[in-house]
Amino acid sequence: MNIDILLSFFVVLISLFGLVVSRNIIKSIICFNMLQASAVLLFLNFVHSKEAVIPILSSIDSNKNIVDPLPQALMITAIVIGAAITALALMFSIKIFHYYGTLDWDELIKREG
Amino acid sequence: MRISLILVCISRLLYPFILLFGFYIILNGDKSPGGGFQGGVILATAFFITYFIDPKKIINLKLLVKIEKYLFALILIVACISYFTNGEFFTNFIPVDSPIENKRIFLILLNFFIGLKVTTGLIAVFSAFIEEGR
Amino acid sequence: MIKRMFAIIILVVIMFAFWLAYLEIGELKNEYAKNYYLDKGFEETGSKNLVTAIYLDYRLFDSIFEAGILLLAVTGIMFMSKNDERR
Repeated sequence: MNIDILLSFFVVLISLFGLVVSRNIIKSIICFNMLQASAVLLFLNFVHSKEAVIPILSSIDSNKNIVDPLPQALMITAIVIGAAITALALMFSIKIFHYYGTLDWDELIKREG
Repeated sequence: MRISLILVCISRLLYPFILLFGFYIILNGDKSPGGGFQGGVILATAFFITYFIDPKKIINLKLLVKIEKYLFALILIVACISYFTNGEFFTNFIPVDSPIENKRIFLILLNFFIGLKVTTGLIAVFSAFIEEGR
Repeated sequence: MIKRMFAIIILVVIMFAFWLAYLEIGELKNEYAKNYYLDKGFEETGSKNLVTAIYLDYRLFDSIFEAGILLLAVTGIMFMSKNDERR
């Protein structure tokens, strides 16, 4: 029960607000990245405590209090998938800029419809 | 783009050490902090440094994607061997009652393949963006 | 301007839901999985690093197809960087 968990909720709110009001595609991609980062922050804050050590057996001597290794193993996959999705979205945005000549959402909708 | 001479010299000096560090992280992934994903990213960083040394370098993207496909098939095969030795998919292929030290073989093998796969994937992504900017 | 006002109202509602979830977060916490990995992790997998033990043995299915997603993303990037249409 710590106040750090509320921090990741605030990051979620900021990125949702950015997704609603931003007019540039690059800003939307940055907001998606912030959503993913807030999920990582929440999972790692949830198991964090000050007197625990890293989950490696050779570093534990007397105190048997370790950090829960399960969220860390899940977050490794989440980080790699986030990097892959961000690269794909950036390549999409480059192709959209080459085809339409703009990256503005309103301008794109006006030209298509 | 003009690249400073100091940056080129330092990059040439640093390149083998980053390669060594990446392989150390990958191969010691089962007893110290690290593993396949993290070490693969460090190896990819070592490759990015070669763009400072020679900016006009051209690499074969088709070959990279082909290598990555074969590595993915290899990871699947290594993970499925355990069906014939232990009777169960996606677990360690060393028999259960063997000594603990032997089980490291599977971990090191799979960590190495995953590290190489992440390295080739990130090099392909980075090179595609470089090609786009030319 | 109206769009922005609606966005702020929706965010306040979401923040209230998060606050309700935050009050109950202490009851959700348990340590069964942690104790199991600490006791049996080394004997069953042979890895001193428990994170490696999880993503290479207990949850190998997960991490294999995560590598597959990376392969799919790289293939998509290669496909899009070759086909370039301009208008």
